[in-house]
Amino acid sequence: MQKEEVLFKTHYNGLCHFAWKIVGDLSVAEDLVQDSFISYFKNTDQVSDNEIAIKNYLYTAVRFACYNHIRHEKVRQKYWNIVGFTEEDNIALELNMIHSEVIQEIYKIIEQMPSSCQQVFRLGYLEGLSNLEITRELQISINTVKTQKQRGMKMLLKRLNPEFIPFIIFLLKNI
Amino acid sequence: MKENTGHITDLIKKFLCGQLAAEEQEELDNWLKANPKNRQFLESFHQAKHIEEDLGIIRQLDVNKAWARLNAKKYKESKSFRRWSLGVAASIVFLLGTTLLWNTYHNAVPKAKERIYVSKKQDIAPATSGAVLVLADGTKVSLNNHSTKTLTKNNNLIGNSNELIVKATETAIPLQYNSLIVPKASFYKMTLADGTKVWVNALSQLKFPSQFSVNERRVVLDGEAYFEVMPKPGHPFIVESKGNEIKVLGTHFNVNAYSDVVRTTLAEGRVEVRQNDQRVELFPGEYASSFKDNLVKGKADLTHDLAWHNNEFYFKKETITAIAHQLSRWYDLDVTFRGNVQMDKEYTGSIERDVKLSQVLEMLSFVSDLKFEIDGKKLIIATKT
Repeated sequence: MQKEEVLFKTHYNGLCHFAWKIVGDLSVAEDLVQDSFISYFKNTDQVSDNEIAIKNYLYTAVRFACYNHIRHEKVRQKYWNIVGFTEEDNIALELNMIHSEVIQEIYKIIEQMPSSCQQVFRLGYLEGLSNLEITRELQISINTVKTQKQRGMKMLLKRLNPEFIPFIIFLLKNI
Repeated sequence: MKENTGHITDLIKKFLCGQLAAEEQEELDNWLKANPKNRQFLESFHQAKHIEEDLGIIRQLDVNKAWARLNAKKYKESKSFRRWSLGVAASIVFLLGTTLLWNTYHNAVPKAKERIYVSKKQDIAPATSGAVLVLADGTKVSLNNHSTKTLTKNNNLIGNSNELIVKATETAIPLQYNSLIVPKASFYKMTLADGTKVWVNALSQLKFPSQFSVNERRVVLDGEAYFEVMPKPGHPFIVESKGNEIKVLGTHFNVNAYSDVVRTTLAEGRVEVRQNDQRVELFPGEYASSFKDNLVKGKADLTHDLAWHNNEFYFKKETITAIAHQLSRWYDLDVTFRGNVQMDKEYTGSIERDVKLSQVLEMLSFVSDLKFEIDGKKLIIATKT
């Protein structure tokens, strides 16, 4: 795979999620992300080849593409109602960026879990079912539920970029 | 971004980990109080229904399809952009493994305005196929025409701008050598009487007979060529170059004799390199290098040594002088250096050879602290200011 393709495939999901949160329409989000990549590939010589710099560039490009889109579509008011942040709110931007990256990574890891584990993990942690509800839903013993949940959690903690672990712990301990 | 952005993010991360110090907690509290949306935002992180929705969004995406679509979009754009993007792709490849360049880049990010590239009018096309053949009797034949011609009385040399073929004949021809001269900004391919194929690089000369002698198949090389020798037991093929003899039976190898150093790189088969009374035998992936009275062998980097045959520039820890030599042969340039260009800095990277000069320069300029100017056939290399 070419470097361009690797870069694209690494960040595409996260960027789409990020754009979707702003524009609220996934197919528009995908278009904007693809356009941003095209513009990045045109301007690679303006961006440092440092991985983080490239990532920041892409997220910033997508953000502006989203804002432009929103202005263009004259649905700006709607956007503010949904998201409720000012355009200048960079903290939100940065956290949203991290959030999208966390989601992207979690998705990747869940995809790699064995299917039995995946099912329990989803029901338990993502849909918020209790262990008892899961035993009923899947017709398995409560011990199996516990084991699978632990397995899933271990995989998640082991494979998740350490930088993201605070977020996932925060997410999951509240369930 | 605002100065404190990173700081608040750090605070939030620590908060999520439960690692906030007292005064940091206070800072975060102030931030949360400053705008109710800040608190909303923080809280949005632990709503499980969101995460399932978020993951659902990602589930709907198909990265491979998206990548294909992106490429389709790119192709719709203008042709010039496509060429450009090729250059950019090459630049990215070029960047791999260039620690030195990375530093340079960080110190001096080139601004678009400062980088003077070559205007379209001044741009120089890559080398094309073509050569001049000097027959044994001194007749000069230009091989730059598309039409194929028969070139000798014996009717066994036929050629056009792409290729020269020596046909095998039954009738004996006296052993006389013809010279194939490939000038700067050219390359050429030929097939010898025994079926051996030779790719001759720019600024090189290959002397070959219309018919080989009974004992051996001997050619004489100046410059660089890649050989695919037809196996013929008992009839050795010998490449003579600056006092070196490379003896082979059937094999693929490259000989580079541009400078006083003759470098033989073996891709397949077996060869023996001789210089005076010294000799070394090469196995595939090895090279022999001879300079004055020294003959040594070692492990070769085939990608590097055969790059030109694969239609690539491939620089590996090469100085600007070595790079300039290659460019000058391929684009027919006179290179001059202006100011204090560092001659000992090494650059690494690759780009296809069938691109215009401007693209190569753009790439080099991108990764180095050098700038380039073109004045007719003159290439001036200077440091960026």
